[in-house]
Amino acid sequence: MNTPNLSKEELLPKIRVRLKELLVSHLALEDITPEEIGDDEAIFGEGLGLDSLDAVEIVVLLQRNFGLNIKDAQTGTDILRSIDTLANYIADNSPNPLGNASPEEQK
Amino acid sequence: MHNNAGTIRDVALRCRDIVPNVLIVDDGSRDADLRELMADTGIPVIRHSTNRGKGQALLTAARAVNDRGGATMIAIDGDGQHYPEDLRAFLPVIAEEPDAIVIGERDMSGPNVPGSSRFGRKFSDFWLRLETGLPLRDTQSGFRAYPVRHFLALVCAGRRYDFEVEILARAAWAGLPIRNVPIRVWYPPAAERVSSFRPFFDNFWLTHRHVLLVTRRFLPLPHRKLVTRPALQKKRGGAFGFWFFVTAVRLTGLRGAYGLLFIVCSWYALFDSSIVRTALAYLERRFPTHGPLRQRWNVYQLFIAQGRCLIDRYYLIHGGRRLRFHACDFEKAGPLLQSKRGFVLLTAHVGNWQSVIIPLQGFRKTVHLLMRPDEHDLRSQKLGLYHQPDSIRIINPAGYLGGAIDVMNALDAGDIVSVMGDRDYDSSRKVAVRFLGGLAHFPVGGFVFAHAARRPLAVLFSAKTGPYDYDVSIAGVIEARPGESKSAFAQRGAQEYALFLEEYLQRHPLQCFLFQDIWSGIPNQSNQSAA
Repeated sequence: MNTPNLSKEELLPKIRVRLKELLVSHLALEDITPEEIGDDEAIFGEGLGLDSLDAVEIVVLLQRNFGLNIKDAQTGTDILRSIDTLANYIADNSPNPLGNASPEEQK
Repeated sequence: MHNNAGTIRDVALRCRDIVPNVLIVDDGSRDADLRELMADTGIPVIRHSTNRGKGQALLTAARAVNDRGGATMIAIDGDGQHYPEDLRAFLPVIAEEPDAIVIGERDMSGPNVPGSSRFGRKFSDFWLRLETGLPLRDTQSGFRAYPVRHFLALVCAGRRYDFEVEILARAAWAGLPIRNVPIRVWYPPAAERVSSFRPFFDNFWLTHRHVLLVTRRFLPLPHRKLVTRPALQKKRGGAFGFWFFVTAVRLTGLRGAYGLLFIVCSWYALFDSSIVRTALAYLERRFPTHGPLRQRWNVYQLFIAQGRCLIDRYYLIHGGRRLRFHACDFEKAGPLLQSKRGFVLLTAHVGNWQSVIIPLQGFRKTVHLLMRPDEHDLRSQKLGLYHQPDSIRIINPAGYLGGAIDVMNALDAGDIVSVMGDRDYDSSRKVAVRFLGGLAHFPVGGFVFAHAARRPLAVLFSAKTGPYDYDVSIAGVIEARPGESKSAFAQRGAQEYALFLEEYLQRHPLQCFLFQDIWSGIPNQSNQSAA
């Protein structure tokens, strides 16, 4: 939306921060703050310890905030690894890489 | 081997090219002196002075291998029908699972394969399935690897060709894994064939042996375990002796097959304590005033009801068209079904749950079943159970991220995703809600999907209401309120669902095939009376 003339290198840190905020708020991660999530920490299994039901939320989050549809498991395997892989994918593919405020967030 | 002098030298030498230790058992051959024939090769020959049968020959070999310190023995026929080079296929499997019996599964597509061999193989596999409950393949193949120590510990009565099937049944009972590897097979043109198999006598003894083994399987005596494995999830579909009923339906129709249930269900109600326990977990809450005897009778009735549903399903899969599925209360989900939006279908292990989607097929929606695709008869189910097999898809909950991506895409596309609401494939997240007078665990998967995709859930149950009739009714629709959080919705939704299920069980108490103690593991459980 409002990302004029930013290079990918400039965008990536912003996307990472935004993603971490979204994860914490959408998944109601109570004992963790966005700052505590590592860029290359595994999202599922060890690391953040999210499970397949959380994956549902992340798929929706990507769709609503970044206009991205993950259509198959292979793409999912490649991008749902860590904040880094997600941010990269968003920077390359999203029409709106810094996300938009979803109605849920405003409540 | 017996009377195979023409081929034995060649077979033995080719074997030794692949494995260092080769041994020949000569089962009373009269066509040549094998010791003389093999003298220059250094391959030992053990001779039976008379023909004592294949089983005895294998035993002799196993003892000899054991004496020489061998752990595994691979038996190969001396008549040249097996390719010694196929030994290579066995070696990695043996290395990985030294306790396993490995059967060379013959590729029967080649020329000269007699029809009687193809039939014999199917026939034998069928019997072993009855005897072990396992879908063993090519149980007549003689090219096999045996773990010698276990082989000698299994006591078999048969000494001829019946030995080879008997040892598989006993090995399966003893807990040995049984594996297959593909092998080639060479059948000479009919005129050149040398086989010791006598069609009449050997088939007679085989049948005799199978009858004894089936009887043994259904005797309530435990089997001695040689290998204990982590408890496999025991599948009652198999335990119900599914194949037994398949034959009965073919021969006598639906009612005849129902009649047979009486035997098997009494059996399980009397002797299978593990499944009786899971049945009682439900029955004691549904009928808190019934005494132990009456509960046993309820258990039996429950088994009969499930058996009938299984038979009905088999009947449907194979094109039976007399069963009628009546859509009840579909107006409760009217707008949902008519709209282009997707929704989550929440069902339960009651009635004939696999058939709940049959009445849905009129609505031209694709239904995705969240279930493991290895469910035994899935493929045939897709072919026969549903009138429009193309509208049924499977999402594997064991797949990447539990199929989450596929579920979300399906709901977005306006499809139906069908999920079990009462118990599911070992998913981790559950909530405790009031159910039949106590707190019970229900999985939250369906609610999480619905909440994330902002779609409603429709609760659908089936019930058998007559010999050929089922009611499939929509119990209700559950939807997240605006602003309701995921966890609040899961808790409220699961409670609503539990109430729908309770209502159903008031009307159809003996169609609850949950078979799991979902009340266990929650503290502060008392015998509160149902609200």
